[in-house]
This record gives sequence, structure tokens and C-alpha cells, in this order.
Amino acid sequence: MPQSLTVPTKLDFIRDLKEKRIDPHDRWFADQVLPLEGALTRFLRRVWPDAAEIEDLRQDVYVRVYEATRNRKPIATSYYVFAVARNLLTDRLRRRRVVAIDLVADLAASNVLSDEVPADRVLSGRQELARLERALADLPPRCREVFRLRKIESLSQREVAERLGIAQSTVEKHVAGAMRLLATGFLAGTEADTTSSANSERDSVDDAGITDRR
Amino acid sequence: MTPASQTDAEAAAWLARRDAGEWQPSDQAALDDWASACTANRIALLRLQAVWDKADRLRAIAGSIAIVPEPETELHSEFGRALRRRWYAPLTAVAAAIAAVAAPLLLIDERAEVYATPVGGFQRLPLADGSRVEINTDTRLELRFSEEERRVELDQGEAFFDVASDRTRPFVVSTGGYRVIAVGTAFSVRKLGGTVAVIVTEGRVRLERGGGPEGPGNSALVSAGHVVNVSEAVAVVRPAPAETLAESLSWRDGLLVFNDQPLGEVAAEFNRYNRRQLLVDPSAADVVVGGSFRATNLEGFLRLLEHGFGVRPEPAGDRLLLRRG
Repeated sequence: MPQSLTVPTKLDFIRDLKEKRIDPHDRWFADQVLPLEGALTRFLRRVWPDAAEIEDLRQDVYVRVYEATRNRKPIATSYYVFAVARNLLTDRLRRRRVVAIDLVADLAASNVLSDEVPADRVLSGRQELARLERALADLPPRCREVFRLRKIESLSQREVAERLGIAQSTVEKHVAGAMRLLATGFLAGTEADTTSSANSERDSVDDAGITDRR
Repeated sequence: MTPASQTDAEAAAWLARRDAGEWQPSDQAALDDWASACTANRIALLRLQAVWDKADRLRAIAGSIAIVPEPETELHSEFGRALRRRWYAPLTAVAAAIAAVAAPLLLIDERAEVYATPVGGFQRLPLADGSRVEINTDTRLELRFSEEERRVELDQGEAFFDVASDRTRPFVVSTGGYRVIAVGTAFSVRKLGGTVAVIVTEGRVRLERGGGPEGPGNSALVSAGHVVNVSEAVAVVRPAPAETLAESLSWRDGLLVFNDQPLGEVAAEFNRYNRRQLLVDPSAADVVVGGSFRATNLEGFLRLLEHGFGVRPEPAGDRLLLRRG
């Protein structure tokens, strides 16, 4: 997929994150690009016929944006990200054998993004918290309980396992599942979308998410 | 390519295992390898970790601690602060930028980003420095930001600039041989053919003529509430009443506001926003129009002319001739 990788071989960026050091490019990406996820996802869903490909498309957009901006940041980030998305879709369209006419027309339309807009406002800390709580409420019950004990009561994963009488490996899987659902639910954006996208994501987590790597 | 859901699941598995404790240097090395394998892996980790860290805020409401609207205590890291402060600001940005996408980004090369709107288009551009630009119909501009200055080249058309203050990096709009220099202020610049007009609504800007030496003859300070009109190398600066300024900037709301202006002027203004161009027949030249109109609602305007003034549009080639009687 990516032609040129600019990722340094040694990064430790998760640890750096904990130790208050983080690659400036990663920080820029988290700060400027990830918050667009809800709007970007809604846009992709609306114009792309195959719902199963949305997550992959979004990943592709992220990768393109991340790699293309490492040395030079766009001045108008949101506009840039959506331009990348449209270019990507156009590329994909060319490679498809059968293309729906209306899809082409839609992509070419000048106001193609106009409906994807979240309300014009800045989220306050309180609203952000509310969004986190909503994403949390959407977790499956067991997953939510593990999250609560680990993250809110600050128990270790081992202590969580003891408290709930389940295997430590199960706790770890629930933590992984909670991470995925929270990220998608929180980044999804609007209230309406938080619910639907978190649900679809939950299905995929149930299918593929809680697989043990080892 | 690895499907995104699998990448996401693997990233979550890594982070969950790390969260489990007993994390050895060899584990970290393995994670680093995985994260370096491709950009998608790295982004998946970054995305999950960013939200996971953010979820620490939920702890504040757990032990019956009152909700602090802007808790300063939970995310200590510079990263966290930056996230908290600006996490959703870009959503505002996207709202604005996407609200009326008029034309695709033409190109981003090493130095410049080019934006263009078609006839009838309007575009809000929130910029990385916090400034906001609103681009009117049939406009093309280039953004060239560097360490030294934030430069905008207005090739044609009209734009309104709300400039974020940065004393170390002046915000410079150059057009038609002139430079409009701002530090933190709000103003609009319009270039139609050979004429340039600058309207300052907040703060002050410095207007410079390019090429010549700096001096009283070649630069001027323009304060809020003033309008500059430049044509044929002469710049005239004069104060304007607030209503006039507001009318001149009504395009930002998609409106054209006229204050008893002759039909010729009004038609010329509509022509900036619509592909169907209007011509005014001498029989209708003395019609005077006042009021506010949606710039792209040509049909409505024509209906009003017909009912109010007996002026009818007649096809004339690819234009419409406005004739009375």
C-alpha cells in the first residue's frame, strides 16, 4: 500500500506518550486529523456503495495523510484531509470495472461534502466528557465492567481478574475490546452516529477483535 | 494489504497486553517492530492510545467528585493538554470548510496551497494558525506560509481574512502589485480586473505598493472602518459608515445588499455570482434597486424586477437583456 515509508525504525512512541514525549508528527495527527474521523466516516459512508470497505478506506486516507504531511503540514487541515479522501475514492473508482453513474456524479458534485458537517462548535470539556460517557455506555456490559474497574477504579488487570473471578487473559481481551469501541464511539462524532457506528464496530470486534495474537 | 479491522484488533491486543503489566524490554522491542512495519500500524496504535488516555478523564466523575468543566488535573502531558484544548477545534474547522466546498483543492506543492471557487461559490477556510479565511465567488488564491510570514496571493476575486495574532509572522495578502500586511486583525481584499479594494473591519493593516521604496508615498496605515480603493496605481483611503462596511461584506452570509443603487451596478454584482450574465437595456437603466438578495437566487431577483418594475429578461445570445416596458 504505502510506497514510501517514513516511519523511523525505533520509535517507542507509546512509551514516549506516557513520558510526555511524543513525536510531533504523531501529536499533530492526533490533534488535527483524528478529530475529523466522524465527519470523514460519514462522508465515506454516503458516497461509497460498499459499506464493508469504509474502515479500509478510512485507514487508507489516514495513511496517505500521515505520510504526505510528515515534512510539511497543510495549512487548512480539514480541507486537505477531505481532498485526500476524494482523490483516493477517485483512484478506486477508476480501478473498478463497474461504476455506478450516480456515484461518479456525486463525487464530482461541488457540494459533495456539505451534508457531512458536524455542528459548527467547539466541544467544551464537559461535552467531551459527555461524549466519552456515551461511548462508554455503548460498551457491552462485561467489557464496560472491566473498563470501569481498570480505568476508573485503577485496579490492575490482575486485580480485575480476581475481583470478577475470570482469567487474566479474558480481562486483557476485554481491555482490547474496550479500547477499540471507545476510540470508534468517541471519534464518531454526532450523537446519532455514536450509536450506529459503535454498534457496527462492536460486531466486528465480536467477530475478529478479541482474537488472541499469541 | 491488511484489512483495517485486523490492524485495529492487533493494535488493541498490543496495547492491552502492555496494559497488563510485566512489560519487558523485549516486548517493547517487538511492539516497536510491529509499529514500524507500516504506517497503518502506527496510526492504529496512536488512535487507540489517544482516546484511551482521554478516558482517564472519566475517573474524575467516579468517586463522586464534582464534574470540573475543564479539569486541569487529569491529563498532565503536553500531549494531553494539546489534545484537550484543541481536540475539537478542528471539527469546527471541518464544519466550516466542508459547509460549502466549491472546488477541489487544485494542488499542494512544496510551497503553496491553491484554493479556487467557481462562479457562485463560497468557501470558508480555517487555517492551521487559527486564522480564518472566507472566499467569495469566482476567486483564486494561494497560501504560502513560512517561518517568516503567512503569505496569501490573491490572484482574483474576493476574500475576507480574520487573522490570528502572531507578531513574529505577519499575515500578508498580496494582490495587484499591493501588499496588505496584518498582524492580528480582520479585513477583506477584493480584486476585480485591475482594481483592488480593501475593507478593514478590525484593527489596522498596512498597505504597501510593491516595487517602490518604502515611504509615505508607497505605504499607508489603514484603520478599522476604512475602505481603500486602488485603481491605476492610485490608492484612495477613506472612512466608511458601519452600514456600508456591513453591506460590502454581506456576501459572507450569501447575501447581496443594495442601497438604492442603479440597476447596472446591481446587475454587475449579480454577474459575479451567476453564470447567466445580465445586460441592462437603456430603457431600464434608471431603475434603482434597494434591499438584500441571495446572491445565487437569480430567478427570484428577476421575478422581483418583473413584478416591481416591469423589467423583463429577454434572451440575448447567452445572456439576458433586462428591458423595461
